[in-house]
Amino acid sequence: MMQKILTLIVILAASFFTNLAMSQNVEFDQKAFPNDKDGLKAALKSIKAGDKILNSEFPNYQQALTFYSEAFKFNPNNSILNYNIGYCYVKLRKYKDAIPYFESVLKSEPNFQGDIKFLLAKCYHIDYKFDEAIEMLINYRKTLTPDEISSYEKEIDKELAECRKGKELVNNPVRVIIENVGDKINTEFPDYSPVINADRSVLMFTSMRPTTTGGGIDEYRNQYFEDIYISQKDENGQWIAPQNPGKPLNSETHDAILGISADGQQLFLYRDEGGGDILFSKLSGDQWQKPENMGKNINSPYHESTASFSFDYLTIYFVSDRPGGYGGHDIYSSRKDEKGRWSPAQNMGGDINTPYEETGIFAHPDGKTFYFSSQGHQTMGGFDIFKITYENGKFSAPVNLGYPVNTTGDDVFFSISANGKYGYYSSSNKEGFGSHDIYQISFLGKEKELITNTEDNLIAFKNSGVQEKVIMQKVDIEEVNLMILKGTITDEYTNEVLFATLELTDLTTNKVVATFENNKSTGKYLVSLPGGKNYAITVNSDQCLFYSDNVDLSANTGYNEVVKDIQLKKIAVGSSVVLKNIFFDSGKSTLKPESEKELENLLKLLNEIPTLKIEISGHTDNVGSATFNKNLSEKRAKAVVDYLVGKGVNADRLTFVGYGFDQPKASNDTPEGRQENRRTEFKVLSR
Amino acid sequence: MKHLTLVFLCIILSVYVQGQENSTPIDTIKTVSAADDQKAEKTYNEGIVFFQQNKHQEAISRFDEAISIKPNFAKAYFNRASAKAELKKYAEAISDYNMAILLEPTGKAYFSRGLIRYEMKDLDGSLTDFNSCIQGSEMDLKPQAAYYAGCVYFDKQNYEEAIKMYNKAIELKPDYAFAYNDRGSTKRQLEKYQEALQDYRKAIQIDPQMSIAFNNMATVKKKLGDLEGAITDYTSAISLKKDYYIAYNNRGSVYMLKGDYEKAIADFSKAIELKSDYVFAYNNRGNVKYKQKKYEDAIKDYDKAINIDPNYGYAFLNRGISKEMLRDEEGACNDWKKAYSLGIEIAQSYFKGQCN
Repeated sequence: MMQKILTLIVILAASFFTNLAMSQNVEFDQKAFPNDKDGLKAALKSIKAGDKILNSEFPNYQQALTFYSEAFKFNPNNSILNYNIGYCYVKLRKYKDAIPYFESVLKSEPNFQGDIKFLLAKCYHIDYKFDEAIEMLINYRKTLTPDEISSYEKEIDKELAECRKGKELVNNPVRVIIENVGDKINTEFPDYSPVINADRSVLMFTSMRPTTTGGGIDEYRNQYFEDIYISQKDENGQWIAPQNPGKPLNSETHDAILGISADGQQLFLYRDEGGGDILFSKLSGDQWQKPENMGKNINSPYHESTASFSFDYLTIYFVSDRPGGYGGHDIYSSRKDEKGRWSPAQNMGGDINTPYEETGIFAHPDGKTFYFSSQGHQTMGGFDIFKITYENGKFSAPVNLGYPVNTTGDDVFFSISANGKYGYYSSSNKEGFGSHDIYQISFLGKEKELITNTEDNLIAFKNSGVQEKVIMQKVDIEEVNLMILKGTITDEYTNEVLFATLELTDLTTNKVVATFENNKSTGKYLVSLPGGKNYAITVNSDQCLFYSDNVDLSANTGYNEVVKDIQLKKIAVGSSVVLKNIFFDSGKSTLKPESEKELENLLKLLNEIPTLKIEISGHTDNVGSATFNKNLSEKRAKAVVDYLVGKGVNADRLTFVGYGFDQPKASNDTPEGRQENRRTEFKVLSR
Repeated sequence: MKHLTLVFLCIILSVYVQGQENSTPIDTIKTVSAADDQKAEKTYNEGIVFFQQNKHQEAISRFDEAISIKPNFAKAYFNRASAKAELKKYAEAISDYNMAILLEPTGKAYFSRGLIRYEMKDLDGSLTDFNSCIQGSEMDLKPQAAYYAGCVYFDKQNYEEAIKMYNKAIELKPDYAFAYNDRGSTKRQLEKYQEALQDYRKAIQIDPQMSIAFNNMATVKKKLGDLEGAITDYTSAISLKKDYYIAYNNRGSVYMLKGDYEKAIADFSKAIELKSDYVFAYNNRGNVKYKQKKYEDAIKDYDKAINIDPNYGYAFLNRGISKEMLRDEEGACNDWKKAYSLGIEIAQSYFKGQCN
């Protein structure tokens, strides 16, 4: 719309020159400048050059501005020139710089035709002058004909709504600390699109710096080609200097990071191929593998951009402007089927997507919260970052993250740590090291009430005062419910790193939720366990007995980061393993249904090694008599053996024994210790 | 409970009961009648002289002797009890008062035992004694007994009964400024702020020098949102009692509410100057510094409060909030954890919300 109106003005400029003459408008003509013919001639030449650029197909506004500025030096009081300068600034997104030029026009010609009032309102809006912007918009609307109103009403209303939202958000700022992540990460070159993994140990971002692979320069942007950079935390929790992983992850053209997995071992990246596509790469040891295109169910001939992993890595959330959406770029999802193929992409629906642009999707490792940027919904200007949760088959209403996280400008590409406390994004609005820098946002939650203590001499005969009772407001804490479980997987005897798979099973349904791998050079693993479920974790490595653990998060317990180093045992005579996911009813020897996964693990092992003979043993705590416990533990061991025999395992290979409380693993003095002592084990007798 | 001590002295030395302006003088010396060889009485009188000289141990030995000569010598028991109370031997004092009451159940004896029981936090026992005094025939100590009974009920948070007792004290002694003040405080606890203000005003009418009533009135005004009025009254309290650190601390808290941080700091600093271990003032000054975004300085004040009182939960809570602003996550979380362990409930929700 604006472009059209402008074009009209420029085309008609010549005739307007004479007609628009008003009080303070000074034309570029001999009447106004009778004594400086040469100066006038030069100024008119500059204007002509500027106009020519403005009317070209891809105007270089900065260049146009240079010409106009020359003319402005000669005559600063010409309305059309002032308008055009303001317009160039708007196009260059330097809204604040445009304001004095537009104001100058309206001062001399309050009824200056065209979209100037709308543009000025926009500038005021970006400059946080919401009241002035609203007034100007209402003013602008009044100047329109009924036909114009019907064409532009939507835009005016959106602008008005953004100004009102901006006022509301600025008056109720969220408590955050926004800090530049520092010169370890940021440089004088553009650094942007930060993505953080779950425990904030890995930060990846895109940068256009000289160390780009191949060292090439994109002539169109006049910047180095984009590459992906990776930084990690050192022992002191400080970011180390970012590394360019080089080929094959980065290429000699643009490579931009889109999303990383919770463990930082997998990523999605963007390349300018097929109209803009998403590629996938994985860390194998310390080498990033050659990125693979995500295939036609994800990538279309249209533009695909940001992408994020689900907590189980089985769903990809991404952005595309393919036809058939709600308008502009929309957010889509696709899930991996059992054979590991991505299913056709699904639009995430009208709760997230709007007729305006959506981008910057980030799926939180809690499995239900999403962050994204949108120009629709209730923004305070441009793109704002929103949060939405998906629970019980429904999306919540999107929540604007608020000012100062969001600004009147574009706020995009946000990622947040698993504990919900640290967000990362890039910004060009602030004073930093380069044009775009990476910032960390610490979310402090609601204002914490300071407690002031006073007292009074309420009782006259007493010297001591009576302390004023403190009444505190209840605080609503937004709790993240998930556990980050991480550690290293090694061989129990040699302490060597083992490459292993971790299988996560929901014990309520006995279904495998997800399978993860650790890093084969460091042995490190990290899994995110969303709250609300009781999980079995089974760790398998070649030539080792499986290891099992139980993590019960069915009662939501907030955010926890647990370090658990796992040591696996080689399949050798005498090796024993505690079967953490065998459950019995209290005091009984009936196997609970939640034990199914563990029994299957055992069965699988016995089937894989047909010569294996094992002992199943039952153990109890010291509550109750020795005889009772011995009997109970023996019956329980037998129940396991019976199950296996029932599944076709030869009874000769299995023995059962009940040790009662003769072999405690921990002290019986604490509930935790007793819990640890109540267990079922198996031991390799021969193979 | 410094005043309790004075009360004993009054009883023996015929001085006015402290703070109860026109209190009845009580004479115990000249009531001893001359009889027999008067050996017990002579020894007893020697005891009283020692008592007057603050030689309590010597006094006790004289009373001991008097009692050994004359085992039913009620006044000797009574005075020995008072001397023992002076030495903070409360259990022995009670035993002597018991004997005195057994021999001569006087209002004075009940009242005195009531005070000791109150001192020993035997609230119900003290109430029984004060009631015995009120119901007795001697008029002397009835207003005081009613007043102290009111205080006991106040301590028991039985405010309705407290008011009844203060009413009685005022009825018996219409210019009883302490009773007005305390009744005002009781009404304040019941959130009857206007009535509380009336009582405090009355106390001040009776005794225009009563700084605590000014202070208390100011706090009620603060509660009612009348910050200017509160400041005026705290200022009056301070001008009547130059070292009134409690009023400085209170006025500082009002300046803080008003956002007048410089004045608030000045008041808290003055309170600290007057009472160097005043943890509230350190804590509160820390809060002002937080409001001024001087987080390091705030922490220094909380540190001081915590050094003085390592169990001061609120200082931990507040220090955690300042540490959070300085990005000292671990420090903040440790402080909130500590505050919670010291009974500050809200610290747990901060911990849950911000700490892993």
